[in-house]
Amino acid sequence: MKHAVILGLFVLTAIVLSIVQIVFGTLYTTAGLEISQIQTQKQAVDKENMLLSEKLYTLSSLTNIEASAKQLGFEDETSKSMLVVTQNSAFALKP
Amino acid sequence: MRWRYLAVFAFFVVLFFGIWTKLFYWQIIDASELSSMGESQYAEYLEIPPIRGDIKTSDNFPIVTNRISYLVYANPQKTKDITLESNTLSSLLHIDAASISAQLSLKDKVWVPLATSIDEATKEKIAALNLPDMGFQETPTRFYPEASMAAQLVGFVGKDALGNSKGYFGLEGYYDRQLRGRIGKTTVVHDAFGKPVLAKLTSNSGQQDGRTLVLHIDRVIQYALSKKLKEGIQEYGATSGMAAVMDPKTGAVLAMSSFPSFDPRDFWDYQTKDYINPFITDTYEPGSTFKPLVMSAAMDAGLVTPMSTCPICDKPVTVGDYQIHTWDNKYFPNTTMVDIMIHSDNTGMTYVAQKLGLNRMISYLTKFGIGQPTGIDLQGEFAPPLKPKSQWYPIDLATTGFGQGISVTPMELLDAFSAIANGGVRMEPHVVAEIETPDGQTIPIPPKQVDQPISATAAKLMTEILVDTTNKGEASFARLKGYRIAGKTGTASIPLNGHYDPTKTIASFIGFAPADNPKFIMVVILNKPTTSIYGAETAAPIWFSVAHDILNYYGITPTENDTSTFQQ
Repeated sequence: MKHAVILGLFVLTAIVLSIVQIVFGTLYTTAGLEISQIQTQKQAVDKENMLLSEKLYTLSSLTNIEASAKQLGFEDETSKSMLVVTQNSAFALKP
Repeated sequence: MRWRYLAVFAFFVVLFFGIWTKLFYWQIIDASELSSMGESQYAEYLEIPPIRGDIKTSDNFPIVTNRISYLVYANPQKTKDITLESNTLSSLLHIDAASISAQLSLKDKVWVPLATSIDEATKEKIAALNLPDMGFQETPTRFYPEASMAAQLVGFVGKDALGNSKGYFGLEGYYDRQLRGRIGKTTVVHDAFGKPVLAKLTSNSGQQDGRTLVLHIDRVIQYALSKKLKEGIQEYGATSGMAAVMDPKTGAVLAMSSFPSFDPRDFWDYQTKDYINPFITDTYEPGSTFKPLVMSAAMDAGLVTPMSTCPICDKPVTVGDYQIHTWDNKYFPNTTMVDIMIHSDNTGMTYVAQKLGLNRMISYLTKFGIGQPTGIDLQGEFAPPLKPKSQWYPIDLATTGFGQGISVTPMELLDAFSAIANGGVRMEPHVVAEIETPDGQTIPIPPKQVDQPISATAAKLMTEILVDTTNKGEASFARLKGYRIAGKTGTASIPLNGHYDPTKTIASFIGFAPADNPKFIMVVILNKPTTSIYGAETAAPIWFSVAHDILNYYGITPTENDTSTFQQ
């Protein structure tokens, strides 16, 4: 009787572990596909990020800003004069 | 009967022993090779290339970064109409059709390159043609948003003998190991459909992206300096020119520019000499810009004061078989040290140099860093050593007093002069302020004091003399009124076959501002200007023009008092 109980427990344990392995194995099997999809999406986003960064840096470069300024009609500063407003001046003081 | 049992037993013992032996051989002795063979059947080894680090200016704008580009290749065995394809691709790739046609005609090949560094837009246009023989290989390339600005300072990225990316010259060369990162390797196990198996995925080992350099370089000052230097070289008809701006209190290099230069985007179209940064490699006789170093040394040694007079300055000075004249053949009896600097008097400087004497001259020059590399973090710095004491003649001592007969690089001169601006303390120049690691950590590079050639008192006195020199010297017409600027012109003769070229000079101006609390020191050097040979009429106007922009940029307003202590 005692041997039968022990044998039964072994069989039961083997069945339970087999079921667990089947369940988790099934879950992991499709994870590889998801990983592949996520990696593809990440690569696409990284690539788009690099392309946008390239555009941003080009537009915000001083070279481009100077060229755009000239097209808009801005000119190089030629005067070395400077207007300095001291604190004693009444200009733009609050009432 | 018994022997039959023993025989069978022995048979099984031998059999099991054989099995154990074989298992031992497979699992212990031959384990690694068999394991590799197994992995090669179901696993894929990938090399994960690192992304090279950026180079950013002080406002965190990347002047060097990476972009996606493509190598366009073709399989000639799948090409259907060579002529049609060549003509179509020629207009997109901007390569002549004959070159493309020649590649597509190689029918014994399965892979031929057609073009490199193709951008995303062009790649999409080619892909839209749906040509069955076309393919694209993504390759990162260096990208320069500010085009060729500071090209010789930055350097470029080429290939080494093994075809790996490698930095050459400038910052790319000096900091190549920091910038390039480390290649990683990973193992990916695929199932029957080619999808990665999670349970067998190993983490990548060793891959690390390159580190990013954050510079002291101020993009605005760099842009202004480059633009005005280029315009000045053209305006004054010089063959070349260079300039740099530095913070004398920390040694931080705020800008550096030289022309002619090169475009790092097409570095292969230029010669090696174009890659070299002349500011740290080219030597020249500095002329009058060297005089403040000698004068401040003599004041520091207590040999002269600003009001000391020169007893030999009423006529040319004879030294051995040579006669030393002033640049304009004007002589001022009993001239003071202040006036010697204002008039850039060679006879006066000969007097000061002779008073200093050879031992002290060599000692002070060494403390000023003359004859040694400054230690700036750029690849390729060179500094000609000072002559040994035994090789100095009396005429060498005399001419060194006014900056002839001695060779320095512009970087040596700028660093030495900065000691006058920094209370007598010389700092080590640095371009890089900090290094950023890929995981977000920052490694600062602190300022480094190298030496103190002169006392703070001597530095202060020399500063006042230089303010007077700027206000009353030959370059006073170009000075910025309302600012106390400490500066000196230089018009150096160029050695030619044992004598000096009478028609060509190296014109320069060096100075710092504001004199009381210097925010920057700058030197501008023009090589062989043709509109005028004088530094006061060529390099000085460029210097003051850039200085005006820098003072505006820093918000430093002019004051009513722009005179020196001696004028008050």
